[in-house]
Amino acid sequence: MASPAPTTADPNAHEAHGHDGDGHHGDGHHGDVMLRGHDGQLHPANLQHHFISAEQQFESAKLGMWLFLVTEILLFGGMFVAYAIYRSWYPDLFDQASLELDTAWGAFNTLVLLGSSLSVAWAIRAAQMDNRKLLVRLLWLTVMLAGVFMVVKYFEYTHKFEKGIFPGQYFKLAEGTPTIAELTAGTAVLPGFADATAEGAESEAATPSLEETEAAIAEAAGEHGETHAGEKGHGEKGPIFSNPRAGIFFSIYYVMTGIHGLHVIIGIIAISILAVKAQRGRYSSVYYTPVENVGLYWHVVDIIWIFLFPLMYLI
Amino acid sequence: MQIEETAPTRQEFFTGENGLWLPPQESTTAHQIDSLFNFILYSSTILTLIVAAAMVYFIYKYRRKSHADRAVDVHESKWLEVSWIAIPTLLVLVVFFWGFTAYVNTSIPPANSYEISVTGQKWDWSFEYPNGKQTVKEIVVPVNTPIKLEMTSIDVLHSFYVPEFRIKHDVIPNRYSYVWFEAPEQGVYQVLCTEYCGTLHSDMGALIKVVSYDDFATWLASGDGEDLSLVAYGEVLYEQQGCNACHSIDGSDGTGPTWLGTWGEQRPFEDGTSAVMDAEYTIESILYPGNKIVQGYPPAMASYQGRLDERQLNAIVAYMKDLNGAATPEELAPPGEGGDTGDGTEADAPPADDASETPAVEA
Amino acid sequence: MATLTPTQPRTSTVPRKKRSAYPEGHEPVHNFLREPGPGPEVTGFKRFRAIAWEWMTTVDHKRIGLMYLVSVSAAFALGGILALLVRLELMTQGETVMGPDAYNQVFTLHGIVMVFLFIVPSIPASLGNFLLPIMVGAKDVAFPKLNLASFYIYGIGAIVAVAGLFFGGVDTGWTFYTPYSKSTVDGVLFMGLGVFIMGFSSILTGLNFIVTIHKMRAPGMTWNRLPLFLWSIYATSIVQVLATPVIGITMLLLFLERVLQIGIFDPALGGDPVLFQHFFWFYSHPAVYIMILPAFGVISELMGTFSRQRVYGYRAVALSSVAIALLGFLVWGHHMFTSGQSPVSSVIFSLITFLIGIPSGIKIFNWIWTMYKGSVWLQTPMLYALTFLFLFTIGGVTGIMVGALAADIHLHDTYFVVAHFHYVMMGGTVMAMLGGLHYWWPKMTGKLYSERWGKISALLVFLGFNMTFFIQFIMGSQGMPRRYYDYPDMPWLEPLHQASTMGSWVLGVGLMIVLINGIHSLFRGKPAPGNPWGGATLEWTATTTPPDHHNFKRTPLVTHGPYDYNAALPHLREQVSGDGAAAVPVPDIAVGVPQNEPSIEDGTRQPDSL
Ligand code: HEA
Ligand code: HEA
Ligand code: HEC
Ligand code: CUA
Ligand SMILES: [Cu+2]
Repeated sequence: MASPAPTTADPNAHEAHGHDGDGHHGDGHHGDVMLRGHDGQLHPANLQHHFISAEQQFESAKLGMWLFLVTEILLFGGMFVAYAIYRSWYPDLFDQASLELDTAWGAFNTLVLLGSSLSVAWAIRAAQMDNRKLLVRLLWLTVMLAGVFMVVKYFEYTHKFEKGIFPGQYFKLAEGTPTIAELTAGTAVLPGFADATAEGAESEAATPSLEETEAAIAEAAGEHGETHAGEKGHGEKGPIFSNPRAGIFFSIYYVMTGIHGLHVIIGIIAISILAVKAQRGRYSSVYYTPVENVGLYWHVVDIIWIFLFPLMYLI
Repeated sequence: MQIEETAPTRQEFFTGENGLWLPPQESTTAHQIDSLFNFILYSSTILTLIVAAAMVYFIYKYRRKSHADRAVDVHESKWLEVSWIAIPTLLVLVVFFWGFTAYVNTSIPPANSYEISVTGQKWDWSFEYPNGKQTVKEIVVPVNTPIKLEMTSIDVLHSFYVPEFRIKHDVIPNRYSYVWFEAPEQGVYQVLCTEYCGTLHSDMGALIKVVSYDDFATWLASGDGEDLSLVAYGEVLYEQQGCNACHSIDGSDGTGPTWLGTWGEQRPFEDGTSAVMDAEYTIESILYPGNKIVQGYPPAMASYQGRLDERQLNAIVAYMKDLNGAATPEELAPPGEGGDTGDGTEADAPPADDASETPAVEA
Repeated sequence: MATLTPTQPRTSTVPRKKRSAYPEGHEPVHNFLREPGPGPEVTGFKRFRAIAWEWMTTVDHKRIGLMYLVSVSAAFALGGILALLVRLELMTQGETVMGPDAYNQVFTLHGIVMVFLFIVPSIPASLGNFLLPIMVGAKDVAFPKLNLASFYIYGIGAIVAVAGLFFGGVDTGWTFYTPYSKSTVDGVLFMGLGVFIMGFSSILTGLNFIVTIHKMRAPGMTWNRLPLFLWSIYATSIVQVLATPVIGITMLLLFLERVLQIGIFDPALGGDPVLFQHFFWFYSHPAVYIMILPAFGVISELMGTFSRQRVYGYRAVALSSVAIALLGFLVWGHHMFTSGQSPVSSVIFSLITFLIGIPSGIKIFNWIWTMYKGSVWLQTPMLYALTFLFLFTIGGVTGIMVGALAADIHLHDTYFVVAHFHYVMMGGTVMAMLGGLHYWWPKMTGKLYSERWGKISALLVFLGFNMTFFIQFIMGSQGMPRRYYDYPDMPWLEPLHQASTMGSWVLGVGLMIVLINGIHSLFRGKPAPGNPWGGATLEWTATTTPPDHHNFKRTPLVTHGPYDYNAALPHLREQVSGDGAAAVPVPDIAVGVPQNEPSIEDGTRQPDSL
């Protein structure tokens, strides 16, 4: 397994190495601050004692970060799979539900995140060029953009809460729409089932089968979609409010954007710490591994949003 | 009609026809699974013995005799390596195709199968025949007839397993799954639940009674509890419907409240309200258990809506009243003597297409 | 025949004399167990506190390895005691020692403790942590602090999981199937959260190991000279990194399902319980290879050293680990043949399942052939290794049996499956771990254990194990379902259950002896020689026993392969084996500091002279 190519090329810090028997050279060839290690030899100040050389340390850190990012992608991968499966089962639901999401704000947020990706990438460049001032500014700019993203998300969420759009069971369906729980427990009074229940013993009155349930839902959705649309004064109530499965879409929506938001918050914290440290002059063209790694992380957070946005808002 | 009441115990399974490993074959498809099982069993026994023998031989042959012993340099033999890749590959491919064909052959029910629907519910199996006849914990089926069971669950996952028939399938809420079998012999066979489903998972059994076609037809046509008083029928239902899994009749506490001493009492609910336990409330509790949750109990009871008819509901109510000494004389009287026979289910004649091609066969 | 008495005259002088040969600061007293340690001026309780604090905050991979070892052993003991309770309850029909609800909690906890607290971290986190950096010739793993963090994350996860006991416990089985897990007691929340947290620990350990193997190898340690233990740890780590995030998201969704009713898995809310099973097994099948691959690695080391023979087909054994790891991602559906997944996918899953038998077979046959023309020494570790070969083969071929579509219809969720996975997990992983523990015990503790009691325990464990679990194959194929508190409908199985229960007692006694033997050796054991078994990997040839704080005085230069016993034990080169064939001359090793004491080869010290 080859180590992944560095995202930003640094011609003098790490040349390409083969794996075999090469770990042993170039102690501290950057000629920066040197300290005396326990073995009596000189090491660069940023070199931890168990590494042989600065590039060994740098490459290890980067490989580690890449692996970590792979796990992140798999984490979201699981949710994308859930999304894909439910989408293929209930395409209509997803069509209806995505109408409730605010595409304009979503697009705005996408641009904001893209901008922030650009600013971290540039920040890494600044570190490589030993431009401390620029580095600090760009890092704070990234934090700011991330902050904007979160603020927009906050308003999106609250707006939805106001409309009664909650995940799962708490989704506020239009009045009269049976919930899935009622449908499956057979306690909902469905069109077509009402008399059977009253009569009691007819075999068709057994818990409705899946097909029957589906049919009833479709019917109910159609019916209530007409009668209840725009009725309840919350402004635009779409057909989604008569779809008993609406909660599922919004569960997926909240879980995915929620976990993504959590990653953004973690990113904000990490980048802020970097910025403070950069201000104190911790990073230079010799040692900027943390900047590079957090940058990688931020790109991944960004890329995940790039997938989330069209899947949730657009299609 | 002489239908056995329990499944026979397999005392002599060590020496039985199928030996140590498998239960008797009692369905027309069992032998396919068994021959696959036996093939893998014997070939893996041989394989394991070869491995063990090689091990023992090498341990002895090359034992260390002195601490200065050194190994002799061995060169890796391509042939050896290829052979222990190729032979297992062949073996597993054989097993795969065998397993696959046997799976396909055994899983598709014949088109003319007699269908019975099955409902799994903590911790009972209930069955419903095409004519509306319902049973709990047991089914009676004709011999030499393919039977297809359409299964679903009310609460959690269960799994329908009959060792002698070599059939098993999960029973899933909100979905239908099926198994099928054709029993060539009369007898009684045990159904087991093999998907973990809570406290009484290990008690969630049922019996499949395979009888001659005539016996089946007579049985199917006979009504249920017609000849019983409401109270006596309620007592039957109490066990048959599995109420006894959760409700005691001796005042002791179970998953649900006891039925002793509660009739006519004020029942406190989780939401702070209460109601008197009368016929109306009782029937509501059975059909819509989620509406009023008795204080101190989990909402664990599933709805019996559609599984109990009016007479059955009345019978349960009567039985509860009787437990608390409140039954009316009509409820105690057997039918025909002023007792309410309700509108008991009328059994239809067995389906004609089956009747023509499945004569009763004696064992 | 197996036990050799020293045949060589005791030629060399008393080891004490040789001590002076060690470089300053690297004498055996300066080992990681004591160093750095508080100064001599600190005494009494303060000293105890200082030492305890030093251990708790250490970033030394060896100490972290030992701390893991203690934790996973405690988890194993807990899981084992629960297992004994399970067996006890099944001994007679009806209620024997507990009611159905208690039983359901006990077997669930047994499964969860054994899987998530014990077996997943077991070998990699304990032996792996201890050995991996030494075997590659590094001072530590790539990220020592992360390593400590993952230990604490494991600890927190374990505590959260076990805390579930105080919130109703869990009675779902270790598989947490929905919708049952959604409606039952609240302990599920804690267990799920605990499993989620422990997942991070597993990911971080795997990540650390991959980076260490890639980037921290000593000069001369090429991929082809990597000990097979490291190859399998490498393969394991890949699985850990790629599969564990999925159990993370699964547990998170289950958690949200319970808390927010999000309805993804609950059919009552429109969700799909079978989807949960897909998610769960997508992790949990690869996880069984997280459990077994490290065991394969240990067995390779043991077979090599105790046959004093190069492991046959090194490359095939190394690459088959990676093949198993990768194929392992494609077979999860074999747990769901009866669950209602589509028959087409069942067929595909069944096919790929069988393919995994092939690389596994390659390993088994190569290990056996390693003994060919070797010099087989039946010490306790080797006894466990041979036990492993036998039991894992049985476990593996029964895996093939349940992987055959039609047969699994009958066998699924019966004791046949229970027996299958105990043969691979207990008979495989645990046997390998016991073998590895005995093998590296002198290296880790600097003490020898009693060979005699070691052998007795190995024998008891072997007998007890087969008595407990072989019977379960029979019960299973007779139709005994698993997770049964009682067997009211199969009373005729009672004698078999009783035999199985009694087997578990024999097993318990055997394991108890292992424990006592270990503790005894810590306090009373003789000091271990540097290389008691004549191993050829770096931990035997290039470090002191126990290793000192920095592992090596100088970074070793590796010039020979891991199983080149002739090169590693050069002073015996001229001597000839019983067959009369001469060992091939090879260059001397040019590494590190000398072994701190003469090895067994000099005939001076050996375990069986205890
Ligand atoms: C250490 C853990 C471990 C390992 C290594 C394995 C290894 C294997 N397992 Fe196992 N398995 C479990 C742990 C493990 N399993 C657990 C915990 C469960 C139950 C989970 C639950 O439901 O709770 C389970 C359940 C399980 C099932 C589901 C059964 C059911 O629920 O119905 C299946 C089905 O295919 C299966 C198959 C296999 C196969 C084919 C292998 C293969 O990898 C085995 C390969 C090895 C060999 C085949 C032996 C050596 C080879 C030779 C000597 C060469 C010659 C061989 C041939 C020609 C075949 N396992
Ligand atoms: C690593 C995995 C592992 C291990 C090692 C074991 C070990 C054992 N298991 Fe376990 N088992 C599982 C994993 C494991 N199990 C899993 C995953 C399940 C499925 C759960 C589910 O269905 O959800 C299961 C289920 C399971 C069942 C089925 C329960 C059921 O379906 O109803 C049974 C029944 O016999 C059983 C028995 C045993 C026994 C007797 C041992 C013995 O080998 C145990 C031996 C150990 C000891 C005897 C302890 C030794 C004691 C000491 C070392 C000293 C004591 C120390 C102090 C006091 C400090 N196990
Ligand atoms: C899974 C366990 C379970 C089964 C099986 C079960 N019940 Fe219940 N039942 C409960 C629980 C728990 C309650 C209390 C909570 C509630 O009110 O829903 C309850 C409450 C009741 C009540 C109200 C009792 C009171 O004291 O107020 C009635 C009546 C009742 N059940 C009848 C039945 C009948 C009739 C059957 C069988 C046909 C049955 N139950 C089967 C669990 C069960
Ligand atoms: Cu129903 Cu187990
Ligand atoms: Cu598996």
